[in-house]
Amino acid sequence: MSFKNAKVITDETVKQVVKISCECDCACQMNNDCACEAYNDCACAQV
Amino acid sequence: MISNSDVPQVYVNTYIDKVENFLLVYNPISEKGIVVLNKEAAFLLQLIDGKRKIEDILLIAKQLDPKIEIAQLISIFDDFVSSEIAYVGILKNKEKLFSKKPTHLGVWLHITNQCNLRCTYCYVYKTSDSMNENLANEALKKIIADAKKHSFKKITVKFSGGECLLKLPQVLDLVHFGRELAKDAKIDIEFVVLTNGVLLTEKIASTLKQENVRVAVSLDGLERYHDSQRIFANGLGSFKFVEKGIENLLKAKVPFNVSVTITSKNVENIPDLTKYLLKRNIPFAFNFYRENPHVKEELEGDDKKLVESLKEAYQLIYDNPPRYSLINGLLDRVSFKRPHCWACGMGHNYIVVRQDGKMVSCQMTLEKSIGSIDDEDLVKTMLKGSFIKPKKLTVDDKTPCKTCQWKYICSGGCPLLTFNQRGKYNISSPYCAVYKALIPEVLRIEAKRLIKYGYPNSNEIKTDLPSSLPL
Repeated sequence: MSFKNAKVITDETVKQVVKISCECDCACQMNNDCACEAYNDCACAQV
Repeated sequence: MISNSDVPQVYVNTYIDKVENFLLVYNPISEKGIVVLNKEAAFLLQLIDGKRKIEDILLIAKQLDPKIEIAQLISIFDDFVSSEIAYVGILKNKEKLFSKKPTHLGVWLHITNQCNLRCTYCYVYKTSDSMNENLANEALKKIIADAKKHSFKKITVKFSGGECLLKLPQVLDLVHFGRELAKDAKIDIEFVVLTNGVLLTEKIASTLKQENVRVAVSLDGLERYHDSQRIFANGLGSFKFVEKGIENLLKAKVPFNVSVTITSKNVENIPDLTKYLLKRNIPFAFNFYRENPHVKEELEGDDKKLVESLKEAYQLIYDNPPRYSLINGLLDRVSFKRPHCWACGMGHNYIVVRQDGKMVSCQMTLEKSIGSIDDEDLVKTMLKGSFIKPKKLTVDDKTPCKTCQWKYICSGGCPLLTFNQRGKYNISSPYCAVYKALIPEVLRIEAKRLIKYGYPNSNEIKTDLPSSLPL
């Protein structure tokens, strides 16, 4: 076992891994830095 | 940053589960959400016993990985601490979690009683009354001014009814007016149209996109399932029209989501509807039917069917989770956004204005006025207006909820539903058993999403998790 491979994955990790160009001008808390490439592929589309 | 001599601890009520070859860890009193650990991280977490120091854990870890350095280990434990699945030192007072004053005000503007549909479970008594323009403008003006006075930073205005798209020109005027006022008041504002979807023509969809107005559309099932409860005044179903409306929203790239109300009539169709929505990449939320005096038929299903149907739907999401999180919409009033003591914003940060300018606590109690937009301070009227007795009854005060692991995410469910069905507030929600059965399933879906998108090589992981996890 090599502990240098230890990974703690959170929603923040997903936002960093999945890059990121928001086209939906949304008012999400991610400040247009959300994990969407498509207009509707975004948690902030939920109302 | 933690040090060699710190003794890490895990939070009481931490929930763990195995998902694929990862460990799901969820601390229900954290605002950080669900955390997933790979096997190396999971192994280290299991070494936390409330007695071992970091330096003791290092000695054990070195037996398996002689190359590990203290700095690496500290970095991993720092990640545990920052994601709030472990802590060192004194646990921060739980009360502090809930003492934050809300900064986001929800506003429900009941623009009209008119509607082109006669949905079987609707709580609105249909009349031809609508909010006149002066009254609507005045309401918005006062809401923004009073929100500013009470230090709210953001307002979400939901246009509702009835069918608010019947009043689209007025809605758009209010959007323009509200944006100007909010700009002057230096408050963020967003607008949402709550619609049955029938009137969403290409032109209207494109207008909503242009005006940056978000949309929530009600869709309760496919074909006959939707048509069994969302019908025109002449009794015909509205599915075909709503489907077209949704196509128009997709085409115009309007940010929207679908709101699903689950009753005994559509419960069996929820898995197929889920498949339909996932295929089209449409975010959605499941809400459970709440009985109200206007409903003439029995629409409550039995819990067993509800749980079975939702489990089937959840499996579809689990198998192929979308990149965005659905977690806060999959189980009625259950919200994992942050720990909370109340199930909704009623009496705290939620203003409902009726078409005649009267204020009510909740859109489900439109007949019970608590004040009006002529009141001196609408936020004060809202704060006084909770119908729960005693007003400050939190989930911590609810006897059956006190020891529940999930109390800060369901917060006892809808208080009105509980009162209507059980005659008092200090009792568990009629949906308590359903929530308890399904919360772990919803957590698994979110964990799977984190694995899929946060750990792209997860398919390569073949080794199992450590067998003993003493948490």
